[in-house]
Amino acid sequence: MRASLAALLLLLWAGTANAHKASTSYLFLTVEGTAVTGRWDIALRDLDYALGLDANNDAVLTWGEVRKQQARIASYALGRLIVSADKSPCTLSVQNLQVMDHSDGHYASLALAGSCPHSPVSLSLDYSLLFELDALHRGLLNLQFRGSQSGIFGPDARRLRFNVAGASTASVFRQYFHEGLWHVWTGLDHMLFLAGLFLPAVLRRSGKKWLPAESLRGAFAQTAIMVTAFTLAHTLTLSLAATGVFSPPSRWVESGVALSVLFAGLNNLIPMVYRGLFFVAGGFGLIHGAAIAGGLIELGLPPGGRVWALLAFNLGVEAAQLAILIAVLPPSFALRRFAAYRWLVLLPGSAFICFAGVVWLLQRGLNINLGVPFL
Amino acid sequence: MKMWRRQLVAASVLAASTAFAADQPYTPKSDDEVLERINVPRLPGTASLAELRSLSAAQPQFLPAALAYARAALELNRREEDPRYLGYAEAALAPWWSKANAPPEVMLLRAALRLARMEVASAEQDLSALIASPAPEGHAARITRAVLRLSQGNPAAAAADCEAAAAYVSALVAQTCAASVQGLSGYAATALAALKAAIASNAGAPLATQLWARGLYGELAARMGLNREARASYAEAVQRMLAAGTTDPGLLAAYADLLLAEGDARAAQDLLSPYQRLDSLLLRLTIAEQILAAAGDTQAATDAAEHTGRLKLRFAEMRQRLDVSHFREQALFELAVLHQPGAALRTVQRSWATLREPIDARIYLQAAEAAGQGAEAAPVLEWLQKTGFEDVRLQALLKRRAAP
Repeated sequence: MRASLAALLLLLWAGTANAHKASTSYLFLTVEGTAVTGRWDIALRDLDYALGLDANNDAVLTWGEVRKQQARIASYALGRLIVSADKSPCTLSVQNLQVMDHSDGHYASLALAGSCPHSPVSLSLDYSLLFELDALHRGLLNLQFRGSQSGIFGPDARRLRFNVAGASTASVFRQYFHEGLWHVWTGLDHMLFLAGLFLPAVLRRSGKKWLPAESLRGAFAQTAIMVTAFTLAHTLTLSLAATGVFSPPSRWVESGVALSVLFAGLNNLIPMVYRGLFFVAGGFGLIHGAAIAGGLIELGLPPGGRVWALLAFNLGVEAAQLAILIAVLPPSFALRRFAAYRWLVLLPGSAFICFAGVVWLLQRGLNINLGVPFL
Repeated sequence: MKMWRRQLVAASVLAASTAFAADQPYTPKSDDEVLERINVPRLPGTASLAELRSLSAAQPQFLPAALAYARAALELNRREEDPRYLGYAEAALAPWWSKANAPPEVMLLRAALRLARMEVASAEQDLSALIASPAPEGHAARITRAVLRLSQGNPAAAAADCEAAAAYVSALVAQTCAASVQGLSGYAATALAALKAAIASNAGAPLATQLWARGLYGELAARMGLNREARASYAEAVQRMLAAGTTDPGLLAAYADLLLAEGDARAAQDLLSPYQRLDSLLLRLTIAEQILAAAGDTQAATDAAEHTGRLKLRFAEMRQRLDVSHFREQALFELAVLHQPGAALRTVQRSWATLREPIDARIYLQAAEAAGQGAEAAPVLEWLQKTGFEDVRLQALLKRRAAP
């Protein structure tokens, strides 16, 4: 008997087509520069199912009941949508609540506004509205971001990412160059490693003593050799990793970067290597390249513009490094004869670099957080 | 696959932007303005859906609570054709959903949910796994697979499942299953007589079984040209359905299709007016209204125009979601309401691979003929030949094809 009851539960669906619309929300977003604006239409029926909007439980939802719960509706919805510029989340708030009619009923229409920390190269949208209640819910996206884009969010597609696909070569180049630049400038570990290498560039080692370099040209030349070795090495690993030829485990790579920082600082305090420093720079360059590739992999390479994007990203990384060099070297060169340069810049700077290197090495190698501010 | 989806999305969003562009959000004038009526029918003999939901939500890993909620949601979907209920059921089963060796109760519900989404291959996998298992759900799975194969126009395969299930299910279920197979295999007259006897001797069978049997009787009688008998059987079934306070959309649609084929648009309108919230029935109502409008009924003309607009938008919105479960209804809409047989033909060709019931064959043939592409209907003719299928309406269509 049990079987026949259960069977009849099923019987009639097999043949009957389900010509009806399932739960759907409509998300319209425009991202221009750092500004985000948009509109999000969510069926009142769905919001009621999720939040119990029908305050007096009379099975009738009035505008008054909806209006008075704007704050709840807004926090529910905003908790289920994250807009990210590259990796950084953008702010988002509900400006206004209105009503919109769709073919299957009335929807709450949320006017959205927000801003991103910077103008995004790639935009990620994470959407998780209603999936825990209704597995057939879908979010239909209409996005204005470098042209018109669209997508569908579902339980198996909660994140949609939009990058420069379809953009012109010039704009791909510009965006990836920009991204490479910022990747170095905002990556404290790369900065400290470079600083560790460059701090003594205006000095030269003689026996156990640091002496001022003779000429700026010489200092530049010596540094340029190191930078070139570093660059060639990391271009190699960056390109290989970004195109997916190999993917080293990130824990080892990140620990390797930390080790390089520690070495660069320590080598200024207790010089171990100074003649063949470019070998060391090259060796560590391999590791840094693999680490930087992580940022590029996260960004994604645009189909059809992979070579340009890779080249531009690399050139952006180089430009950032050269900019640091150009900013740091001349003043240090001018100050190189003063003992204060060694005592107030080189030694404390290197000590700090060592400290950072140790902290990172412990954190990344052991996968723990030591809670040191900024590191 | 990905490329294909992306193109479809791009195309559908173009459609979307034009569909929304006309309207803008607004602020209702008064707090008392009613925006939505939350109408969840109460199922007899169980707690309300809201109660079952909160029980399941309190202990998401507790299978009996999840099953009770999912079953109630599925039953509501069967009555209301609202896929939100399917989504609720699937969400409740989430802790077990992606397990290959899910509990048999979950597998059975999963198969049903997949069928509703036209994911036939994975549904069949679940059903076959259940049938091979010692679980009692295997019996239900067999009947379900039989009905699935009938809806795929494969009576030979369905016959084996009907026979194997006969030992376990109630007499009327077994006999209705067998009659369905005979009715699709060139023995409609035998099936009709057997079904008549079975219905008479099983007056105490559960309502859902009775509605299935009487609905099938109506369909078989109509296909044999016994319209009076068909109408009587449908009318009796609808009467019982109404008396029990339930809704059987498939039965109502089949009855309405007969009334429309007979040209009795007024009766179809009366039958369907209370069910405008169900798209498959709104579609038939709109066809009836168009016929009445052509006969000079101005109110029907107004209603037909409004309902046509609503359906058009509805199908467009389902397209945006990449839903595929509505192709039969969409084809009928394009053929009978929009009078675009070319579009209808393309739509029904997409569903023909998975759905081959008599109504699909009729839509297919009518669309091909009206579009002047009779040769396109070859797969249907081949199927008719293979099964020995009988249907006076189809035969009339075929005769007209042969005449010129």
